[in-house]
Amino acid sequence: MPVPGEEPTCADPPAGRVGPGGDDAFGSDGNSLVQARRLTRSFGSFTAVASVDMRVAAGEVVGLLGANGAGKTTLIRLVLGLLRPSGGSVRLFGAPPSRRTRTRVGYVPQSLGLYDDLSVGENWRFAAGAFHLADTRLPEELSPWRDVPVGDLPLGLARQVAFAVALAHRPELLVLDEPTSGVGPLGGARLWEQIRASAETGAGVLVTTHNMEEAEQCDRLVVMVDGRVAARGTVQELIGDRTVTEVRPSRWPQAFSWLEEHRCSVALHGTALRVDRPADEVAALLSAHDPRAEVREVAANLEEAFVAIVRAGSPPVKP
Amino acid sequence: MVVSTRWFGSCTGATATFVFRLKAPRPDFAPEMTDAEREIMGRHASYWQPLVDEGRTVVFGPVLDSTGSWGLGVVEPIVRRALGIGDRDRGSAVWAMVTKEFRQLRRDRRTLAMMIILPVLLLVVFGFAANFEVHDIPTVVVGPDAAEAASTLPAPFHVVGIDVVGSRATAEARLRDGDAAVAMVTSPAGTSVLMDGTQLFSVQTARTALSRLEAGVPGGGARALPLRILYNPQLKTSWVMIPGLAGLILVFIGTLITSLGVVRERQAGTLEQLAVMPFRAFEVIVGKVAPYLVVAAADLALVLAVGMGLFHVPFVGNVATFVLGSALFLVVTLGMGVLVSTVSQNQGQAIQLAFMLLLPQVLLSGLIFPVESMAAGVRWISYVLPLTYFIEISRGVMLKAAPFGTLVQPIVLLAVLAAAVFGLAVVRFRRDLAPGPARTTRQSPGAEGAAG
Repeated sequence: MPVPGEEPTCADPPAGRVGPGGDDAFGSDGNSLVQARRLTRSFGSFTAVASVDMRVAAGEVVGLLGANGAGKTTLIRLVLGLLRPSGGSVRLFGAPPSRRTRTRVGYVPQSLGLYDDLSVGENWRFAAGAFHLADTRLPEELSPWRDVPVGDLPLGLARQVAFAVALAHRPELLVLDEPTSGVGPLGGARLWEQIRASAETGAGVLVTTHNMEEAEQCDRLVVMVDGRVAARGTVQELIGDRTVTEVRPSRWPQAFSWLEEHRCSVALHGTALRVDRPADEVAALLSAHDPRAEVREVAANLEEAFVAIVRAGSPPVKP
Repeated sequence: MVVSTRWFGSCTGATATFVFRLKAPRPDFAPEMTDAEREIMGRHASYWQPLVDEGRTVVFGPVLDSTGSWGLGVVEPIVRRALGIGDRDRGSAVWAMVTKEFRQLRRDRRTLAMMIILPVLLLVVFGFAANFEVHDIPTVVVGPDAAEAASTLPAPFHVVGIDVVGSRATAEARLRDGDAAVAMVTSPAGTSVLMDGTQLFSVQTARTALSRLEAGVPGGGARALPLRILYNPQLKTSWVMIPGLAGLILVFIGTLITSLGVVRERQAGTLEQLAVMPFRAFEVIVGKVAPYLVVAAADLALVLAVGMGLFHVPFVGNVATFVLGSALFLVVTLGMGVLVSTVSQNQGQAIQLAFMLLLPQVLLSGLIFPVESMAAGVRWISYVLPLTYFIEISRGVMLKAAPFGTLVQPIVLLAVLAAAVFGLAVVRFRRDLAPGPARTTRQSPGAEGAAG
């Protein structure tokens, strides 16, 4: 199980397995599309990215998981060479990021990078012209919107267009910043289908998210807290042997309030409560309040593991 | 029936409230009210009670003391209440807002500089530049008696050339080339004076000075020297202003609109997308400014057509020379626009900066005030402004039919400015678009090896 808050080093690779690229995050195999070493970026006294090591191999989907402000977007911009690092190094296709290496990347920023005042077809033609793609046609599913300005499209559809544009030149690496932000479940599923399809054809994918369902679709996750890597590994590795206590109370609203009053972190799943305390402790708390409640220890899910990692990785809150 | 009551109002300075006292018509009014009086007082209470409930009245109600009963009403003036003056909570909220604004302003150093330093700077610089008085009129004297005539010329004529073998043609060439504003031609047949009509203020001052000179000629009385004003014989302001205004419009379009176009890309996030496309910074700039170049060129043609049609401004010179000068000038202004965009994070900042570049061009380029009349320090600013050279070219070509040879200097200087400004814009924009290869910090050999 990964150790939250502890910085892995070359001599100390993260424990556990790993995705299609091997388990050593810093291995120097020729398969690496992105390699970041102790990558750091400060803005004045604020350090947005602190000594991050990371690797993305061909054919794998690596998720950067973190809350807003954790440094995910800054890390992506460093990887692409859109920001100069304050320390450490980053290699894109084995070389420092440059105009040449960036052309092998398909990038969809949070803002989509499309021209709102141009139609879908015009945006497509611009990208095709930039990449010298003479015989490329707008994907069939986008044809009905060919003449619609991107600014008039619903966000889900606009994201599909951004995806299509980013994929038009068959990039070897896809970099996606919050790709499904603001998109409905169906649209999100479609986009993830495309992400997986790209990975299956051999492209590496680096994707930022704070959505747990999306994170579960990644081969590997890098959890960022306050600009640092707090943990890394597969979903199973991140969860490890973490457990939470599941409570099936006779009256959940009262039990929920009762546990919260006792400073437990409680989440409602249906009518069951999931509590971040040991089962015996929770049982003791509920013994007087709801003696008939069923209390048992269950495996944590990714969200609960993430919360625990973030808590362990965050600096203590000053009183 | 009338209830004879009277409200007496007074305003207390300390609290700025109005205190009203309702005097009863008789001491036993309260206990001994008639039904009609009770009904009126009931309506009186019905009117005031909601105001009390809404907090619009501080205090309202009957008072019973040793003098009998009376009514008390304390109200705040409506303006005071609306502004929240005296209300501690509202006051602190306003104060919080004010301090917040000051904090933001303190951190927005560019705006702060514009508000404090710029006015002072503008006042000082333009104070020296905004000078309608001409103290120095560059003058050439030609002909066999040139030396003698030159020695008799008082201020403001400043003799910049004496040519004893020169003729009237020589004098006209010197005026056309901008070497002088006035030329005195001496010959056995008499002395005559030529003036460059495109230099309005200089010509007007020269005419006045010349009439004084004529009056002072010993024994001559009012012997008038034959005077001819060249290029703008009627001294029409529009003839002089329109070639310059065309340039000013191009500065506006070139600098402001271009900078806004680039900044808009940054704000929309599309500039970042351009960085991951196979574009060089130079290509992006060229792509961005090309449409503006075309529009600005069309603008120039339109403005000149209107100027020539509406104000009958002549265009007597070589079109190719004019096109070359205009093209170079446009490249400079569009480059300035790109430069502005590289130091502006949003459109507001771009507008601020563009206007900071626009103002000096209006006042220091020679469009309004003669550059020669400006104080020496300020004059040097005008020498780095592209509009200064464009005005020289446009007035030279349009009004004086100046050949290419005489405009080589401003054209070359514009080309130098174009190369410098556009080059700087490309360098800054490249850094802006993507900062180039990342610096690699020193790492341990093991780490390097591992990084592969």
